Amino acid sequence: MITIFSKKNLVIVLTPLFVIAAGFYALIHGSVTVTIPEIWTVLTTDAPSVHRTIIVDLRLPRMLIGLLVGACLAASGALLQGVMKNPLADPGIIGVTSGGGLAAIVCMILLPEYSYLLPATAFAGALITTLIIYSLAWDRGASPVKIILAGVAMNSLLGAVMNGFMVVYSERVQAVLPWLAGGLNGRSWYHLEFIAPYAIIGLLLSFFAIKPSNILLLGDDSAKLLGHHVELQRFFIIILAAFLAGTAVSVAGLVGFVGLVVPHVFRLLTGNDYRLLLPLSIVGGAGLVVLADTIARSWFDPVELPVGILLAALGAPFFLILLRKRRML
Amino acid sequence: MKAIQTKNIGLDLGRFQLQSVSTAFPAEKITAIIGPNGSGKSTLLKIISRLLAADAGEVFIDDMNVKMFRTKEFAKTLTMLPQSKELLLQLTVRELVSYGRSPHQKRFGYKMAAADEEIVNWALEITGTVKHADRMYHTLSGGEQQKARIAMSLAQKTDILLLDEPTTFLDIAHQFDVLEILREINQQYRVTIVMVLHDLQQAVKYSDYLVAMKKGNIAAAGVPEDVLTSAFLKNVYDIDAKVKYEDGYPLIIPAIGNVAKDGTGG
Ligand SMILES: Nc1ncnc2c1ncn2[C@@H]1O[C@H](COP(=O)(O)OP(=O)(O)OP(=O)(O)O)[C@@H](O)[C@H]1O
Ligand SMILES: [Mg+2]
Repeated sequence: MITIFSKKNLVIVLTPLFVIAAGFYALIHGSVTVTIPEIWTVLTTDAPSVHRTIIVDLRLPRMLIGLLVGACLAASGALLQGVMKNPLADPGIIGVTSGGGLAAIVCMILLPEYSYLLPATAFAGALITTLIIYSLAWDRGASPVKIILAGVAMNSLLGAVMNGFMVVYSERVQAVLPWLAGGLNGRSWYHLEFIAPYAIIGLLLSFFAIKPSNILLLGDDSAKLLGHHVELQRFFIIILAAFLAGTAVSVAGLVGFVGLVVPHVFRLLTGNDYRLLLPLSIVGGAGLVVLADTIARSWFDPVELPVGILLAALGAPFFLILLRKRRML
Repeated sequence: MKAIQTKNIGLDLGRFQLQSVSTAFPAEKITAIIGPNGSGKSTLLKIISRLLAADAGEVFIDDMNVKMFRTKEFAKTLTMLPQSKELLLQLTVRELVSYGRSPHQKRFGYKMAAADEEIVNWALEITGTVKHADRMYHTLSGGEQQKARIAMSLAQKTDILLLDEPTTFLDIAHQFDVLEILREINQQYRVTIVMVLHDLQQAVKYSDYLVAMKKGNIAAAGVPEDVLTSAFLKNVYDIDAKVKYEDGYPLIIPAIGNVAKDGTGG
């Protein structure tokens, strides 16, 4: 039964290869193809050139941001699916999407001159919304079901406010739309510098959530009997998930489906042990966003699609296929 | 000596109340809790094991209020095999049993000490689950799963072990198997055992002390042979039956045809 070529081992080997391939593809491919030797020259010499502008100023930061955004979203989704004991949980469920989205809209519509504050505003909006949802669900403990219900209510409320803003300020909505769709167009070193510290801290912290995530899957009662502070652990994991997704949303906008689909796929492939699931989700999510972003910006020339739209368009049918297959098992 | 003592435990769950439950479970002995479905057995165990907070009253373990224990300390003192079978994590039996060591480990430690490893092996051996050690838990049969979960509780190496219906899901041979294992644990390692059983004959045979519950109250408590009588069966279960002993094993012989239709006490 235990063979070197088991499905599990294959996934463990292929996933890192996938992210490396996606990274190179993102650097090489575009309206101008830059070959690997040319990339090497650009990175090792200082001479200014067109290739240099394309690689260093455009593709490299965008690729790195894509890696971090994908990693954060997938990690967030993986943690939430465990802590909520619900394979369909994603960062939207704890208000990251609606909270971050509303904050971003308010910022862009009411304070357009402060648009550089957008990432920070969206980030704060996401985290605050999560905290509100959590406290609404609290009643001698916050069970996953109550959190999900509070999240649904909060999401629809914030969604209504968001729509209200967009109707009232319809002439300024144009500026918000790309962000709402989710994309990496025009993201550069400034944005990378903004999210890199949060993303790296969040991802490192997520490794501390591996053991508690597993323990929570033993069941609340078993976890308590094993001497774990179930409520406290659940709270920290939820906040960490909000922090990770908020980080991603802050610069990439409302990119959906990564947080839902990526952990789900790896769960189907390798099981739900977080010692494997979390690292694989992080790596796979990073690769997926970079690959999808490269496709979104280069395959539909002259239009550049927001990656969020492409991910949703491809993710939805893919997900439906997965669900159908799963039912047959 | 009393390992566990409850004083005036009260809990209101709406349609069901525990009404000032005061009872005690002797140390280093096996106690069986019996009673009809819905009489509050699981609820009482959950309060003792701190999974549920009572509205009133106190639980003491060796004269220490359970509220005074730190979470991890408590998990080294007392554990329970819950009646609910929730377990979503996909892992091998050995990994599951290893979780029993977690109260004894550092919070973020991943490596098992050799001593922990040894205890896990011991728990696997004594429950006979060692032959499934490397199989995935969710591929085991219900009975095998139950034994694996018992092994996890044993690996916790607590002084007190509560078990909520440890023999459900098991065929008759495995039922006696588990009861023998528990007796061995009790006799060899002096573990205080409190278990909920529905089979009254087994309860009498395998316990030193019997506590019977009815509608959230303690209906009777004492030496098993004294508790289990015809009058008791009528009072608690509302059945007419005779109790006989054959070679030291109790037999309950119902007066067929007279078994009450609504014989539940809850
Ligand atoms: N969370 C709850 N809310 C409301 N009622 C509850 C709750 N938990 C248990 N009850 C009720 O309390 C009563 C006692 O339940 P308990 O699980 O303690 O019974 P039990 O003696 O263990 O029964 P069984 O032999 O069927 O396991 C039942 O009537 C049950 O419906
Ligand atoms: Mg019960």
